[in-house]
Amino acid sequence: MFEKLTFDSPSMRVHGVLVDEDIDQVREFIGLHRREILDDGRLVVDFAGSTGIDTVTAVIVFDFCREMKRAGVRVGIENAPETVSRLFDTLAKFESRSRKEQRPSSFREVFESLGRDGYEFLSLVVTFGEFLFETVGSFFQILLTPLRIRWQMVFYYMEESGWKAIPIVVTLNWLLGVVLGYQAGYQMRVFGAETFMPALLGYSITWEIGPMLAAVLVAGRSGSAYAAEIGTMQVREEVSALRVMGFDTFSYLVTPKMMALLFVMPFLVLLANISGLFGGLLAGTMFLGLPARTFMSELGKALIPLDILWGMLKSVVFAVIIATVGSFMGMRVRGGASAVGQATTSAVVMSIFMVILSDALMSLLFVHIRPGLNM
Amino acid sequence: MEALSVTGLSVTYREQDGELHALGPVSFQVDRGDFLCVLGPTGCGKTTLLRTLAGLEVPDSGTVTMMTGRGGGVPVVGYVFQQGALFPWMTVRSNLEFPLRAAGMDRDRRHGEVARMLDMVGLSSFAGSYPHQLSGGMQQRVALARALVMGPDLLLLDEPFSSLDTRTSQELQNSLRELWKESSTTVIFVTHNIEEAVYLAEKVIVLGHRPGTVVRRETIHLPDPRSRLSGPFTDCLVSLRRTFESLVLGEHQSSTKS
Repeated sequence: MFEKLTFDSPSMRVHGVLVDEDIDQVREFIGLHRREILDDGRLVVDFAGSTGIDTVTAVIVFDFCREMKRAGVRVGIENAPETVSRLFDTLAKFESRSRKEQRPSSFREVFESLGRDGYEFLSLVVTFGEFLFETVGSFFQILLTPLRIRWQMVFYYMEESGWKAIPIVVTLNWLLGVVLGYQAGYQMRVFGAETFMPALLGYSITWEIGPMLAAVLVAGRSGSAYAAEIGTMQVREEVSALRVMGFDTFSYLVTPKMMALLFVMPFLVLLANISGLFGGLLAGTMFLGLPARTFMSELGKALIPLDILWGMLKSVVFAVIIATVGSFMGMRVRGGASAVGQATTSAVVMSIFMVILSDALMSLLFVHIRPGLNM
Repeated sequence: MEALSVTGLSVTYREQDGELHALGPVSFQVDRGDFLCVLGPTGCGKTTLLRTLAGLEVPDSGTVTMMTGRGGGVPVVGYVFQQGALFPWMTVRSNLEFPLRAAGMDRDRRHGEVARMLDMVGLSSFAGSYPHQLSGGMQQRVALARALVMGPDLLLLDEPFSSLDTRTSQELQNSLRELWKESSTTVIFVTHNIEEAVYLAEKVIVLGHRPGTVVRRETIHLPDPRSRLSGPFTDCLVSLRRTFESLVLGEHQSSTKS
């Protein structure tokens, strides 16, 4: 016989203190009287004879009361000591909170989260816009006082981001030139049009593939490195130290990177173009029986200097994007080392995205600038 | 005369998952040449306060008014970071020379200043070393020297000795106190270590839990040279510890209970 609980419809009286050793008996007791209470439609839990209840048994009693309530029973709690009522209040609060969290997402919530994400994205765009503005501003400002430019750093980044990128840029563009030349020529030969392959290859490489592949490679190699470098400095409070000493962190950290990329990108694009076209030439002579002389003369007929120049001009825009996005993501780093990793990833993703977006816009423009195709 | 006056300063960080009210509102004044310790539990916004004073964070409300510098213009602020924040690609000498070069000081004076500073912190023989070749205590000495080399009007220190062992940390506290007595610099030192505060400071303000507000102001009346074993020191320490525990830790317990 369990003495701590007695039942006299509709009152369930608690005597003494309920502790976790009583769990089984409390459960059993409740189970025994469930039917009766449901039939009666009323339940009063009376704590008059009790001084307390521990958390575990409180949860059981609370759950039971809730279950009864849902089944339509009128439930009341009487004479609860302050500790007990506080426990029940907490449980009720906790329940309503967890129910809110578990509720299946409604139409409104979908919109809410869409709105929040959209707002976050917009504020990211706005802060990036401000950053870009400041960077370009301090770039032109420092151009007026060329002696203040950290040329040593500019040369360092030129070597790191330009010179050391040459092998991969050349190799990949050459490979792509071979593949593209072979694939295009193979298709065109069906119509006996393989002599047009050099033109097609020339346009696609100088307009798009050369500049774009170079930019994507530089974004992957150097954009990430810039984000990691500045991000680490941010974590180690070196950026703050610079600012306290009165340095303009833009001209100190960002400008040399941007300047280096502005110098090297056009040349990387030029090399990318040359190696890509060379790959096409190789494909033509080896697989399509297109003599090198024919390839060159067809290419010469198709391309004008503006084609090459345009790709190099585009690369200037790409250079600004890669340097600013990398530095921006590095500057945004807060917290520890894991934030640096995230910044590196976002720097690469965002700069490649923006490179492709700006490339699309510039290509639209180019169609209007370039005189008609010479076929 | 007041060196610094802070009124109703409050800082909120905007983060991806909402806003974090990190500090304030906080109001206090520091006299010129004073040594103020800001004492508070972890996460109460001590660092935020210091960063805001240095202009590294933007407050949402409140004002910070600073004295004019010794030259009559903008005051020079020195900042010692928790982990030193020395530039790892520079030698000790270049680290110290760096702010001077930026200020446009000529080569000879620069070298003189750096040598004097290195001598003061006892690291003359390590001028050509890189930060990673030095021990933690030495790195913090260099960081202190780098902050002092500009002859700052206001020196801000963010728990600079907290990651060092007790002995090294006490040695550095001695040096800091001596350096402060020799100069006319106003110092604000942030710490969660009560003993450090009692040993170093002339005045102490205690911040409560986040968002930190000033819960107590104390003046430390201890004669120089201060000794950690003297009776008055121990009394002062015990009394401040009591205050701290009842005001800050008590506050914390009641806030977690409810």
